[in-house]
Amino acid sequence: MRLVFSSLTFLYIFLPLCLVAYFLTSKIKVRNFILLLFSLVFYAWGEPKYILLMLAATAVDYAAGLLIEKFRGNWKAKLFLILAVVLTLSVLGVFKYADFFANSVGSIFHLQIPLLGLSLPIGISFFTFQALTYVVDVYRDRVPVQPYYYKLLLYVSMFPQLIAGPIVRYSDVCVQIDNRVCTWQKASKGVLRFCIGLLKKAIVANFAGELTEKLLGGDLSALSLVGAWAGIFAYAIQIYFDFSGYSDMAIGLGHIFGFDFPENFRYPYAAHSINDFWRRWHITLSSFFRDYVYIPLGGNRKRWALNMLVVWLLTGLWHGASWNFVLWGLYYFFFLMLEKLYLGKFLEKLPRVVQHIYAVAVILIGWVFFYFEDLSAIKAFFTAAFGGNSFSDMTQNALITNYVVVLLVGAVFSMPVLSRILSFGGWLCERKGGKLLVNASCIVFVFAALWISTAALVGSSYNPFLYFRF
Amino acid sequence: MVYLKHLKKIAQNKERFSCPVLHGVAAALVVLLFCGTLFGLFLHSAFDTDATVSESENRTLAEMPRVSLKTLSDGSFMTDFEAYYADTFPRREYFLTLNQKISAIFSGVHGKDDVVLVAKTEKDDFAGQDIDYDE
Repeated sequence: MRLVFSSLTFLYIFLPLCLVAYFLTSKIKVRNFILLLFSLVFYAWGEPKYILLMLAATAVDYAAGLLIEKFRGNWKAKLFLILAVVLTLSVLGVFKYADFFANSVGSIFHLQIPLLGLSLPIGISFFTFQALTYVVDVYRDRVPVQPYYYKLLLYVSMFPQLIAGPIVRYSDVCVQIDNRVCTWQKASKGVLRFCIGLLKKAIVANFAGELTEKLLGGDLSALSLVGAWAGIFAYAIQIYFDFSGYSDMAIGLGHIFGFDFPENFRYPYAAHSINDFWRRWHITLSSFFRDYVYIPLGGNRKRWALNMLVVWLLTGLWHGASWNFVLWGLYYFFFLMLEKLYLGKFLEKLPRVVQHIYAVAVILIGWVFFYFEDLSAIKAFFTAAFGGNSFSDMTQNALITNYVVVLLVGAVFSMPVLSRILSFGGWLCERKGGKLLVNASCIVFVFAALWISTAALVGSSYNPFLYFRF
Repeated sequence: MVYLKHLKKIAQNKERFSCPVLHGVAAALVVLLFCGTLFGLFLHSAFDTDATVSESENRTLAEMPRVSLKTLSDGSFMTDFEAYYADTFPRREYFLTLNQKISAIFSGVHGKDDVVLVAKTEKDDFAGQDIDYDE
C-alpha cells in the first residue's frame, strides 16, 4: 500500500506533520534532516523492507561518485562509472525484468526457468534513474561530487518526486539542497499547483478511470464500436490527468519546500505530430533517454535508426516488463521514423486541425497497447473498435451518457485552457481592482479544491454496490 | 481587446504553465488556509471519538489496527490503518453526502438513496445507475 498524495492518510496526517516540522526551524541543515526523515517514512510506509534496496543503491552511487572524483582522468574513473551503472541497473533488472525475461526465454525454447517471484519495489524505475544521473554527471564533470551520503540520499528519496516522477536530475537540485529560499510567494504558488494536481487526480482521473474500467475491463466480445472508442478516450483522459496531476502535486510540494523541479507535461494532447507529442509528454523521461542513452550511442550522427530503435524499445520496457509495452514503444518508433523520413514535410503543409486530428488518433490507438497487457485482449479490442461486434449497445451508451461530463471536462482541460485562465489572471492582476479579484478567487479555489477532493477521497472508501451486503 | 493582444504575446511565447503571482498578504493567506485545513482536520481526527458503526451503510467500521513488528514489516498495518482512517474520518457522513453530489455530476451515479432496481440482465453491474430502458 503505497502512500499516495491523493490519500487521506497523506493529506491529513503525513503532510501537516511534515509541514509543521519543516517550518518550525529556519536552519537549512535541520530542514534537510526533517525532509529526509519524512521521505524515508513515506517510502517505508509502502515498502517497509525494500527501503534497504534504495539505501543500498544510493550508497553504491555515492561511493562511485567519490571514487570517480579521486581517479579523475584515469582509466579507473571509467571503471567505477561502469561498475556503478551496472550495479544500479542490475537492481532494476533483478526486481523488474528478471521474471519477464525468464518467462520469455522459457516460452521460446520451451524451458522451465525458475522465477524469482519478487514484487516490484515502489518507485524503483524512478529512483534508480535519478541515482544514475548523479553518477554519470559526476563522471562527465557536470556536477560537483557530493561528499555527504545523507544529502545524496535526500535527493534520491525526496518524497514529492520519489514514486511517480518527475525524474529530477541531480544537476537540477544540487545547488538547492544546500541553498534554497522558502517564501510565502513561492509557497503560495506551490499550494495552487498542488490543488490543481489534486483535483486532476481525485476528480477527473478517478471518474474517467471508473468509465474505462466499466467499458474495457469486462468482456471485450460484447464491446460495441462506440463503447470501444469511448473507453480508450476515457483511458487517455485517465492516464493524462492521473500522471500530470501527480507531477503537478510533486512540483507544487517542491515549491512549498523551496525546490524547483522540472516540468513534466506541456499539454501533450494539444500536439500536432507524434514528434511534438513526445516533447510534451513525460518530458523528464524522454529527455533522460535523450541525454543518457541516445546521445551517448551516437545520436543522429551514426547509426541513427538503430539508436532510435534502442531508445524506443527501452522507453517501452521502462513502462513495464511486458510485451505490450515493447509493442507500445515500437509503435512510437514507427511513427517517429515515418514522420522524420516521409510524413513530416507532408504534414506541415496540412491545416493545423488535420495535423492535430492525426496526432490524437495515433496517440489514442497507442494507448490500446498500453492498457491491455494481454495480446489477445488487444486483438479483441481492435475487433470491437472496427465494428466486429456491433455499432452501439444500449447499456454502454447509457454508461457513456452518465460519464459525459468527465469526458468533456477532461477533453477541454487537456487543451491549454488552464494556462489561458491563469494568464488571464496574471493579466487581470495588472489592472485596477483586478488584483483583489484574483487573490480572492485563488483563496476560494484552494479551499474548494481541497474540500471537494477530500469528499471524493472519503467517498472512494465507500462501497457503492451496497445491495450485495443485504 | 487589450486581453486579445496579451494572448497573442503569450501565443508567441508558447503555452506555458504560468500562474498569477500572489503577493504579500494574499500569498500568506493561501498558504495558511491550505496548511490550516490540513492541520485542522488532522487535529480533529486525532481528538474525536471514533465511530464504530455506519448506520447509513449498515456496517461496522474498521478499527485501529494493532501495531506489531510483524504487521509493520509485512505492510498490513499500513493497509489496515488507511482503511481505518478513511472509515473514521472527521465529518465522514457530511463528506459522503458531498461526494454523492459530485458523483451525480461526473458519473451520473446518485448513490445509496437512488438505487434503481432493474430486471435481471446479463450485466447487473449497471444496476445502481439510472438507465432509461424505455428506448
